[in-house]
Amino acid sequence: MTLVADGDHGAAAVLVSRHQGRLLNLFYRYTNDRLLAEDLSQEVFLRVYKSAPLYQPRAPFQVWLYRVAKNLCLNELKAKRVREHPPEPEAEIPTPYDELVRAQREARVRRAIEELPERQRLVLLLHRFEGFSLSDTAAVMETTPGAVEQLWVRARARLRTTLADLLP
Amino acid sequence: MDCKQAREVIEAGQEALALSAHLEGCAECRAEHDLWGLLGEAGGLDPGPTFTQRVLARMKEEKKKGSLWEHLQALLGRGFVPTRALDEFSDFPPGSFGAVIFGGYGRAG
Repeated sequence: MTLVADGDHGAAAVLVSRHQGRLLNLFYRYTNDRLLAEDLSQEVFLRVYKSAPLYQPRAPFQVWLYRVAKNLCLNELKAKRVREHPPEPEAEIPTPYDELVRAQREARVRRAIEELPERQRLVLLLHRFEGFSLSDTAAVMETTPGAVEQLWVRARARLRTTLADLLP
Repeated sequence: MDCKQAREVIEAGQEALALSAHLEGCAECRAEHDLWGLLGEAGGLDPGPTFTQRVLARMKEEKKKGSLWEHLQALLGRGFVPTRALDEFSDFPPGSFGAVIFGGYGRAG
């Protein structure tokens, strides 16, 4: 971050390439919208770049980075989400049959995640997909591990209902 | 293996013989395991080869904007801009600023 703050574009490139995939997928699963996810992940990197000179390592960098992403999801996404882009089409792939079924299941799961309440969705994405422990998820969400545990329980219960027909 | 250990193994994305044995006899952990697996079908995106370049290009734009703003702030900080602005009025007679601002200057009478 010190190098990024000094305007070192090589260091910025390393930072972006290290985190781009995970951030892009966090936003993609959060919004179910490919183009919006790209915009949002670029926005995170721009914010990191702009605030690099002020960065104080009070929390691990990864926690700080995901807090920026979380704030974007919870505070600013609603304003941005005057859908500039159409929602992601479901199951475009027509054949063969197995591929169609797989694509439909994938779309259903993505939609079920998208329909979770915001904070439940973030907890699910951070814990299930980003590999954060529940206590690290609490650090990103700036709340207590107990609150995160509750959100995690509710998210799973809701998903079990929504996706009941896809579960054995 | 108890339920707590089973959940840890599930959430670590591991498969183990001990887990299979536990799942055989525990419907609740089996449901957890199935949901965890199903969520994995959510798919993902590849950022593609140009993502980093696009972000870096935007960072460069921000840097340019930033340096322009810093330049303006430096000018304002030195009082340069207001001084120049006031210089523009130095040819007007004393006490005429109000008339200039409100559009009365130069009118007859």
